[in-house]
Amino acid sequence: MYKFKLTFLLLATLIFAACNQNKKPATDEEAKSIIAAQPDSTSSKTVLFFGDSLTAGYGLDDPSEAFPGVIKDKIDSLKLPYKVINAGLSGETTAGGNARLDWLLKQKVDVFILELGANDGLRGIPVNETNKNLQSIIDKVKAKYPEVKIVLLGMQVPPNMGADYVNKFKAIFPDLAAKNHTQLVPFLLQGVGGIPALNQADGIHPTAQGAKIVANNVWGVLKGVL
Amino acid sequence: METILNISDLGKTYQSAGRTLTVLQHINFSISAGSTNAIVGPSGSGKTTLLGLCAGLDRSSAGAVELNGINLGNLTEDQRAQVRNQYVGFIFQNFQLLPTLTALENVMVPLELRNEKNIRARALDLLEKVGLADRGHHYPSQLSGGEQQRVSLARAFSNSPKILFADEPTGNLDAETSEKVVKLLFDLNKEAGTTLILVTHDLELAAKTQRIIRIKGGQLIADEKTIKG
Amino acid sequence: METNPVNYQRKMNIPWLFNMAWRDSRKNRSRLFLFISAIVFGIAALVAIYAFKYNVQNDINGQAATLIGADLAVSGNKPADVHLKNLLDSLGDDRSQERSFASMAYFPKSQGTRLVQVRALQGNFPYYGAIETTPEQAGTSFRKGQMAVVDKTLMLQFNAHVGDSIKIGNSQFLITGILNRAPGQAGAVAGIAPVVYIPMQYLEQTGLVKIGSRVNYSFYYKFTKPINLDKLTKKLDPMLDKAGMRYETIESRKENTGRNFGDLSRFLSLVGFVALLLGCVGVASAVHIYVREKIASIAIMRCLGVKASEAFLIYLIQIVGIGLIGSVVGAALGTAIQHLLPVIFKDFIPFTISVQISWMAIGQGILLGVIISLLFALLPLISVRNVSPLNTLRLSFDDAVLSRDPLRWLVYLLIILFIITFTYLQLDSWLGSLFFTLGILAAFMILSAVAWLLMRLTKLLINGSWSYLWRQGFANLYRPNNQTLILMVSIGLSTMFICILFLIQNLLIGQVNLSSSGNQSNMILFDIQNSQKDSVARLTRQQGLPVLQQVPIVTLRIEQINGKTAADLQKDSTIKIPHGVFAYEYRVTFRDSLSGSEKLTDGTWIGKATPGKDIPVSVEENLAHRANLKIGDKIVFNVQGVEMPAYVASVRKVNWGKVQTNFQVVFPAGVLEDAPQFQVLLTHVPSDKVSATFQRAIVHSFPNISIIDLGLVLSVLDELLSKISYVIRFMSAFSIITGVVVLVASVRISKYQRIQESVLLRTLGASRKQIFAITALEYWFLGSLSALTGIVIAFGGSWLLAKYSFEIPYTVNYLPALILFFIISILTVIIGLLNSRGVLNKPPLEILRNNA
Repeated sequence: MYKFKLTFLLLATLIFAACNQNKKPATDEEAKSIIAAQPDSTSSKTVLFFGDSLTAGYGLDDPSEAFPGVIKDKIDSLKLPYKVINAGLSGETTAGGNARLDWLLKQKVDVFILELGANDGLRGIPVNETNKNLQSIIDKVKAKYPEVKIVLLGMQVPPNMGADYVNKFKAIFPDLAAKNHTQLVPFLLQGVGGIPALNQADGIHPTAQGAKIVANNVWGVLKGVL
Repeated sequence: METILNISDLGKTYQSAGRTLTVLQHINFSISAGSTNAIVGPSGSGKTTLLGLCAGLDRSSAGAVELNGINLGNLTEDQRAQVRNQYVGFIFQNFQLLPTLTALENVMVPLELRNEKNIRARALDLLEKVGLADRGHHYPSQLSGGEQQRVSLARAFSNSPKILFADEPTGNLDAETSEKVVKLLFDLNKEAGTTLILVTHDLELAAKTQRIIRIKGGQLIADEKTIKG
Repeated sequence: METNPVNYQRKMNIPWLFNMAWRDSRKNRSRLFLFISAIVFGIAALVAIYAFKYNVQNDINGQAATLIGADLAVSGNKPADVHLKNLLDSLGDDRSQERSFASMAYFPKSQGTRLVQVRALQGNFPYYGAIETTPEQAGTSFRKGQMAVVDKTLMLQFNAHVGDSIKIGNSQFLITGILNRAPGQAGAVAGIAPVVYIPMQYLEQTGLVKIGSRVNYSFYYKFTKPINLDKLTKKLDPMLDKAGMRYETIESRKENTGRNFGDLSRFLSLVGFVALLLGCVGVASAVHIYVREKIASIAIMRCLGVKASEAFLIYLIQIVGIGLIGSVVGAALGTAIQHLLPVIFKDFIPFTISVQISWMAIGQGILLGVIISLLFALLPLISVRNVSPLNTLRLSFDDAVLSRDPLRWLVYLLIILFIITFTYLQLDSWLGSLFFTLGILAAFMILSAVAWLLMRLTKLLINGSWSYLWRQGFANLYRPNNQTLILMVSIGLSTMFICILFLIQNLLIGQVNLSSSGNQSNMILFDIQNSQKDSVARLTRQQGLPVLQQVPIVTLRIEQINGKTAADLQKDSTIKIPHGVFAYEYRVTFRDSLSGSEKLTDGTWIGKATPGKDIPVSVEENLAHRANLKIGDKIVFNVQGVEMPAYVASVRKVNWGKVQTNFQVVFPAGVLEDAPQFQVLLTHVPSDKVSATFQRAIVHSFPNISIIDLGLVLSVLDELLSKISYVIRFMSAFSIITGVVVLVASVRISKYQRIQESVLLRTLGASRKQIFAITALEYWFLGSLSALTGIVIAFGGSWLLAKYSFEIPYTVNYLPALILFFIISILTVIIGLLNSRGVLNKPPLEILRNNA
């Protein structure tokens, strides 16, 4: 049994950070809409949030409390003609994202919000590997939908990883943004990261309150794109 | 003469396999203190049962046994044990010595039960009388039948009983030994002035007593005095 | 002649009763010795087993303590505030602190960088076990300077040596030792990132602990004075919980480490119970026969005027005396065995069993010996009250004398209460004790019933056409003064215990999976992309490593169950589905067959999806239970935007006891092949060297792949598990042997039962052969029938134990049972023959005189 627990621990929290069984479910229609595209909304444009647990809303009572959900509310309240798709997957790395992209690009995407890299950073994956995968993702999106607008969400790793790695990692995002002429949110977790009150007990994932600030960080850039 | 044992309308039945088996019925007699008596009868006539009832070893189904003025029927088993210990001596066909006790200790038991004094000396004295003073430390299994019965005699007299019951005392002994034991029994009895009740089918032995009570089929068929009586 | 009044109130002369008890015991010392020896063996078995049990329990607890390294560990991912700090500083008699975090370490010599887990340590931790290093002293000496101890696989990976340096943050540390093994910290973190220990006083200057750093704060405590940790942690829990901190004690770690500790303690309880019963069988059978032989003497005493209560007391005193002597000698013998055995077998036992005199075991042994003697003596003795002195006039004192007495039930009740109480001392659970006792009662009744049937049947079956020897042998089974019941029960129960222990031991050993033994996975590769899966597998095989498992993993959520969504759940409280079922991100796989660790409990397995139809999925038992799913229920899965209608085709039971991937939901082949997925690969690396080389190769070719090396973690557990499995084997082997000895002793007691008959036959001119044949037949029938009954009961008993106590799947191996059957049967016959040998070698009369 211990081995199971061990594996379970590894597979469930470290790698995927996905399980939170006692939390409340998504409410009403939102739950559906953030996970899946509404089949009837063909007329509007699509914003696709492509990311990891931060996008998926890991550990939140309701996945729609994650920042893409907050942004969706904003878009809806402003009556903007955009439909929001949350394609967040807890534990996702840039390599994984790169591999599953095709599945998501089957539907038309107008705004592509790329939020990946955090898991690479926490696992100490070489920076150029992360860089390469993100570049590949951007290339694929552009190749399929040349009109797409890409917003790159910048990530940082905590200082304990070592100044050298921290700095190189931080540099990935502005470099990529400049190189690909994409929009950039310099640091997604600005004002949230490292503040215990805005993060869940694990110290990584924002609370619902934290997610609102995160959403604001993103909205600051995104509103200009829409 | 004073009556030591009074039997009135005594009966005994056993329940066996749903049937009632009558072993004794309507037995009446009384025994005078200091007399010698024999209960005789063929095997299965009920004489051993009668002895058991007289000695308070068993409960009667009907009638009363009065031993030294005490109605045994009114007593509990433990009280009867006290009566036995204080007034009654026993001699059995198969000796019934305690196998794990020495000859001397076997003789001592009744005395010890009564918390008497000088027990050892008195027991040795008794063993002396039965001619076994030197065998006091032997276990019953190391003694011959005759010797065992002599120990048994010593034990029977050890508590100076008022009445002595002997169940076929020579039944397991050869003729010569029997003779010695019987002689010893009667000598000791005489010396102590004890009442003797002897159960036997040996008429020759019975003839040595003063009175013969005949039992057959559970009933008293004759009660006669012998020449001695 | 005057009439003396009868003194009914004669006082009981207590010294005389003791005197009589003593006198009565002298006559046949060899016989008494035989009885006492049965008690001695019973109690010696009990004391030795208990003593081993307590010692082994201590050893294993000590070993378990090294898993955590302290009596209490508190940890959290935030620094403690002032209030909490005061609290934390007030705990324990010795304290240590640790800060641990992930960081990229740099090896200047090889210029390699790798994620490591830095553990900055202050204090004397670990208090149990050691930070095992090469050289040995490095585990403690690194704390004195700017030095580090580095995981051995990591050292190999970067070709580093002691004396090289490692850069952690801004500081360089001298590598003073190679870390082989360390207590504390669950394996997960250590597995993904190899550990580097540094002294805490140099943590500050690394510059790694700043605002935003993710650091784990651990506090380790040792309590030198005994303390109720349970109570303490209960008190601490709310405060720690508020501060977002967790605590761990040795006990809680044991619980979390899995079923093996539980199995061991349950097994030791079982062994304790068996020892208790073995003690009972040894003592009870001896006392029972002994007292029965005394009935005649009691009748004579009654004749002489001994009161029933006095006769009762004389033998009670004697039995208690015998019980006490037997128990004390038994306890001494048991303790001696406990001390000698490990010395004698030290070459065969691959670990040290600590040898401490267990006063607890000795105390229980003596108490048990005396009480059991008393209780089992009471059974025949209470009937003594009814022994009519008239029996002196009759010749036989058969069982009829010992017939129905209402007080008997009181004694039975006392015996049952006693067994429950002593079982409780072993099991620590009243319910368990009750069930165990009921089980024994059932076994006892079955054996008695079989004995009764045997007597009935032989009586019916025997007829004149049989040869004399057969008739005589069989008739011995039902004749007056037969030993059928007592031997059936004692042989049957002993056989049952032996067989149960053996079967359960086999089952438990089967449960202990050592990662080092055979092909158990100890390394996990994950985040393998589909495009990489073949080349990773190839690379693994090239390195000479097995691909134990390679499975695709797809992440999805549940959208609807039987048409109900999460939203419906909130509106309708009657829906019996917990919220979490919808919020959860499920990792599922797809394949066309069940894996070896899975077993269907319901429905049918469908390995291939039919295009255009609902997908038949298989759901794990617990999930089915939690989500209230039944066969045929409709589920709509959301595979990252694509809705897939499915239904529950089967429910699976999954054995989680191995390092392997297991899934709550398994899809059939043909649906998810194109869905976003990654692969997990499990392999077994035989050594650190291989592990290092392999990791280097993987990181070089596939930098995105993460590796979890469980070797270090598993080796700590392996050691513990192999110890546990040896303990289980040792205890069962020892108990089985003891069981046989007790069985032999209790059969041996029957020596005098047949002496009269044998001598009589001998006197009548029976030859040695004939007497042997008669005895052998009697004992063979008793032995084989009771062994058979015992074994059959053992099958039932072990099944119940496996199912309800150990909760492990039941399988049975018939061969050992068959062997056991013959061993017990033949053993019984041999003892029977040995018993009658004495009769044959001496003149009949001598025997009769000595044993009258």
